[in-house]
Amino acid sequence: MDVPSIQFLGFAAAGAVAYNLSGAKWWRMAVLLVCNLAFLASFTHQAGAFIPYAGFVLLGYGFVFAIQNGAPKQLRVVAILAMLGLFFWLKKYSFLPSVTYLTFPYMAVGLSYVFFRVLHLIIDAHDSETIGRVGPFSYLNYTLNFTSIVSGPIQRYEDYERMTGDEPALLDLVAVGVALERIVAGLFKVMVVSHLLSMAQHALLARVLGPETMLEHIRDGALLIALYPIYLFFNFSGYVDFVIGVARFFRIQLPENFDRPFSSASFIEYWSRWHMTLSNWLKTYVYNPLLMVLMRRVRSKAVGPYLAAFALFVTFFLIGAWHGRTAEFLFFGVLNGAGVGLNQAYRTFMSARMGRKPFAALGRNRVYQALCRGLTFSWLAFTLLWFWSDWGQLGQIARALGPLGMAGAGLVVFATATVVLEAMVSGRKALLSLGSADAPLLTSRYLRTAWATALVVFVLAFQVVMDSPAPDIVYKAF
Amino acid sequence: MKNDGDQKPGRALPRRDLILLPLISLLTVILLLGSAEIGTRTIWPEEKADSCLAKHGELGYRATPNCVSHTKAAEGPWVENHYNECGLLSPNSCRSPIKGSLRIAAVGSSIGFTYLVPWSQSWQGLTAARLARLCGRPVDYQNYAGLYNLNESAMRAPEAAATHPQAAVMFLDTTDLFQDPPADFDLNPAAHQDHITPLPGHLPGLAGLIDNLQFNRLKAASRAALIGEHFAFKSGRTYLDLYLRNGDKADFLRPPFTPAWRRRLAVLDKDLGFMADQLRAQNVPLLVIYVPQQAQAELISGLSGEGTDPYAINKAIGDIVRNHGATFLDTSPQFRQVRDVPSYFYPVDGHLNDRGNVMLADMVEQGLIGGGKPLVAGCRQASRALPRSSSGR
Repeated sequence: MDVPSIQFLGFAAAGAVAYNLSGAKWWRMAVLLVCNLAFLASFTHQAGAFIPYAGFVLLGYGFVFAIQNGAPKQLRVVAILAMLGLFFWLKKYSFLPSVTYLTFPYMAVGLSYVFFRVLHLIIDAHDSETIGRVGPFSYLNYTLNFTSIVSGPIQRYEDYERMTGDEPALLDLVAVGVALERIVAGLFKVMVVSHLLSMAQHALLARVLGPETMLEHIRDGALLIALYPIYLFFNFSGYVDFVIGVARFFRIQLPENFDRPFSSASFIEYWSRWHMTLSNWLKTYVYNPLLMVLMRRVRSKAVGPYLAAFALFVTFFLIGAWHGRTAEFLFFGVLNGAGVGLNQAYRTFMSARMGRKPFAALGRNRVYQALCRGLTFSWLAFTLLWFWSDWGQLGQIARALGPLGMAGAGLVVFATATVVLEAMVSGRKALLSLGSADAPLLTSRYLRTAWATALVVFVLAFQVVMDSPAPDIVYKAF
Repeated sequence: MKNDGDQKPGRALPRRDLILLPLISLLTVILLLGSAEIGTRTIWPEEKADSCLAKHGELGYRATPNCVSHTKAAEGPWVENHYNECGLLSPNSCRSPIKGSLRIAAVGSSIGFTYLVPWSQSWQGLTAARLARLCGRPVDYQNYAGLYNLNESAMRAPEAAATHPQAAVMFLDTTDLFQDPPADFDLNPAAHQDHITPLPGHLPGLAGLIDNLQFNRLKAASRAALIGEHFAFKSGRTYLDLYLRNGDKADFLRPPFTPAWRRRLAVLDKDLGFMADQLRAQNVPLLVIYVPQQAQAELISGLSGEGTDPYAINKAIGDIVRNHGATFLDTSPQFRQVRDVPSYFYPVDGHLNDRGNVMLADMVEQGLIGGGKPLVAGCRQASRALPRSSSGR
């Protein structure tokens, strides 16, 4: 079953009606479990295909159960390594010998997101004050939650447990309206905007690889580079909008995953606004522990301030590398890590050189902010070349554009991003200033109702005109 | 209208909003759909129904003699259609040909009919002037082509042959095959009753109303949807990707052919055999020109499509045409290295536009007076030479 899709919406609606028939916890857990299992069953009808997936989930529970029941401390390390190894093996990471791979087809939808949740529980299982006792049904419903299993967002167990237990999210008329608005916005982003951008990207790639004048090459090359981050944003954030809206009907408030990432004036800020639940997960379980270990071990005053940059490099390299098993994704990880690492090193260096206050003042300068925003977007677009393409195709593009074309396209991306993003940030501020300060016109429920209805019309009209399915959610593959 | 910035769940809605919010939704829908439809109908008018034509049951469309009509594709210009005293789309008389003129009959379906393209910009108009110059005599086109399926096209061949043209020209594309006319159809026109039947979408009474409320009819009737598609299809890549998502319709591009496409080729074999026999009986050579469908042309131009072979159907059709002793020319190779394939078509309608007709005119000229053994003798050959098709004569 595709997410988002009208079919999924029907499935979730039926589930939500059943879920809300009774307020009893056992009823709600049972309905959610049926929904989760039914959703997974929609991907394959072969029972054998579920065995590795089930093994992965059940082994995770075994570790959590053992840790919560007084197993020795060392088990946590064994459990983490075992789950990591199993994850790499099931996802067929290329550093493992291919002869070890399972040869029969098996389910792996959302395995990455199940992995993040299981690992979070294993690491925090001993902290019973925060997460409490993890029962088998709660565990299954949490790790396999159908609303967010495909591509997140990654919710923390304690938040999930609270909402499926004593503090379900409110579901009154306003909440229903807001949830429907999110669903519609998600459908529009995925089915219309990302569909159009995906088509435009395909067309641009064909044009760039074809015969063009130098100016056309620069224009199309710049568009090709710049379009993908925008496409990815609409594709992924649309999915997240959709599932946040759907989960609300199950009285679950999923965490936000995006916060206007293209308004970021630095690469570090960008990662705190993009795929936020994954960044937070890695900051909690990789960056913080790594930085603490480094700070304990490295005593040099010269190197000390740059330890955070190194820890950030490792963390965000892992984010890149997690996306895939190929050399392209590893390189994407290196560029990501380099982006945040250098960003942090630059901050440390400039603060030391200029002084904290003058550097902070520079950061508030509008022109400086606009240039930083342009640079952040350009770097992001550049790193993503290894995300959507491969070495062979990148070679073709580079040969087609030539050194001048590549340099020109890069400059155009930077200049355009600087101007357009500044206009976007300023425009948003101006629009939000319309009306009274505590109730801007743009947030009027009447205007929002009209807007959401218009989006529904656009989605339906687009489906009628295009008569074809929307592109898949990119992150479904990870 | 009071703003509501605080949309925190838990806040009660005022009672009036239970009426107001659905009403706003409804008004938004009406406003958007209405303005889109009115706007597109104003900017891109369309008139595809030819007022001179009437559907004569299984015989297909017939025009009122000496009639003039105006048609227009939303994607194209207005077209004035002149029907002569025989009800044929031609500026020339059918009964009193100009002395010494070169008479050519067009048979087949809508491409030959020059549907939705002004006559002067159509393959007929363009070749009439050119052939007259090269052959030193006026050219008299009599158009027996129409909005026909293969069976209906075949049934007009005896009439075309009876006017003793020097040659007959027929265009063929995969849409002609996909219409799926019945295979066991009796091609003798006398076997069918000549009575006027309502056009599709024009059934009278309640049946007509129900017929027109079908989703596909509503979609086809929506100008906004058409224009949306038009702009989407301006991108060759988009058009091709969407087209290849079709199953049966696009299977001709994915050999080996499915049973459905083999059946369609069998119908072509039967109908074309009938036409060739009828024309040969009057010593009229038949030139069949294959025209690729837009997605096929995109593939030929160099766009990739997994598991496709854009030349498979041409080869199969070429074999059938040659088996019946007719001359076969393939327009497909003309699209090699063409950068802007959609500019040769009305992308939504699917027919070739004026630019596409220039290509067709070149093919007709090559087919009639080009090569070592031209179908029409006594003409000079144009100095420019077109590349020979891979499956040419």
